[in-house]
Amino acid sequence: MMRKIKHQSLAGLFNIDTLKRLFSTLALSMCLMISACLSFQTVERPEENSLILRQTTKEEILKKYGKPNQRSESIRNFEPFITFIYAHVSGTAKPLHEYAQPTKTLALNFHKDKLVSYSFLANFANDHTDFDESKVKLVQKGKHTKTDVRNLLGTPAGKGVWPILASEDSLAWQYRYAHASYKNGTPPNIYDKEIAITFDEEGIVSDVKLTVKGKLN
Amino acid sequence: MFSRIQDMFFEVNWRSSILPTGPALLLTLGGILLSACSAGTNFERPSADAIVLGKTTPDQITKTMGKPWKKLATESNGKKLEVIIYSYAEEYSPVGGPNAALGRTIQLTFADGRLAGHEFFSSFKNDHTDFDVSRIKEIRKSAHSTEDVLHILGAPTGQQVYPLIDDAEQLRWSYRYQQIPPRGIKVQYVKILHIYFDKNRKVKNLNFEEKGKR
Repeated sequence: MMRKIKHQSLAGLFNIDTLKRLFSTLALSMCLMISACLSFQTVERPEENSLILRQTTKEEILKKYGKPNQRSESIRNFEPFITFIYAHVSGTAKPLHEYAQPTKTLALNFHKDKLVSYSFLANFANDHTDFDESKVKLVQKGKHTKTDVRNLLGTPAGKGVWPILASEDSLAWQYRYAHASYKNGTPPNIYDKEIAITFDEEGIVSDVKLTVKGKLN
Repeated sequence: MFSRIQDMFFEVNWRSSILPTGPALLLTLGGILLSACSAGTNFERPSADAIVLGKTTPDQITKTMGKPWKKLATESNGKKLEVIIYSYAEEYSPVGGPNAALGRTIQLTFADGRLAGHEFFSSFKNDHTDFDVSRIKEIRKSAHSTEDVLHILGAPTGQQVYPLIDDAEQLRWSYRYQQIPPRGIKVQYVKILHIYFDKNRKVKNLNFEEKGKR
């Protein structure tokens, strides 16, 4: 069994005066803000072979994961798609990096009811998607295969195909880590890094992109 | 002081990932929080000739608009970016209704000391950036020009070029509208339309995302 979700909605537990007091605790206030639209639940890392692009259906995801915390409709490359978000924000779990708000999120995108991308993001100490970005320079465009990339960087936390990508023949793998940390009050420090690797129709690396935004602390 | 928390979503966060990851990530990670009942210093949207891509410098902006609400350093496509943000908020929006606050923000992004992108969004009545989503379907790939899009949707609320976008020959127009909650615990609403033009300024691509509830 890959995962389970327990709904533990906190909405309605606090009146406004309580909220005012709680707002002085910044990390907790963040939880409450999010709780207005996201119920608290557990989100566990999906097994890679359980999410097959262009094959896994929206109905299969609904059956397995239940109703998403958020659902939205968007357009990419002129094609409409649907996004499901499953999110867990913890007020008690130990974060990977001090002061970070522990968060786990699984986002899935569907085009004509078939999965076309997914992205898992976690920053818990015992379950996170952090990675060694220094290894990105070892990935060689025009040469390396998916196996090579996996050997260098590990299992990707996200994958995507057209229409999420512009090219109909490409596949993208994603390695991503992010957190919002609350050390010196608001605004929080946002740290977000991603390696996006694109493969051509032959499964050879066609593009490598490292993006780092913000500082760790 | 009662602390009101507003989410301010910025392009730098919105486009941070190759895969769309939706509102949950934006809420947890993409927001910069601005506290207080009225926040930031009010400003006027600069005229088009005051924000020219490839020309305008950060000094020119701060000289005319004053001290920014926030400055950020980030990067895109391997280039270091300097981001200057002016943001102002009050209670309640006549456009968004009683459950939304008034807010206006402009973000100006510079690469190599020159403007590489700008984006303005507002829920104030006099300069709001709400747009008609139902007209997006009229836009035709390869056929329509910037002038055609201007005719269909009106002027964009922002424009961006490389390195904010990936292709050095392309131009991106953005249309953005968002509502922020009057208190910090309600769902907010944001919609962003990006239209990419090729080097001949014909529509190359179109992306649209809408999050939350109005």
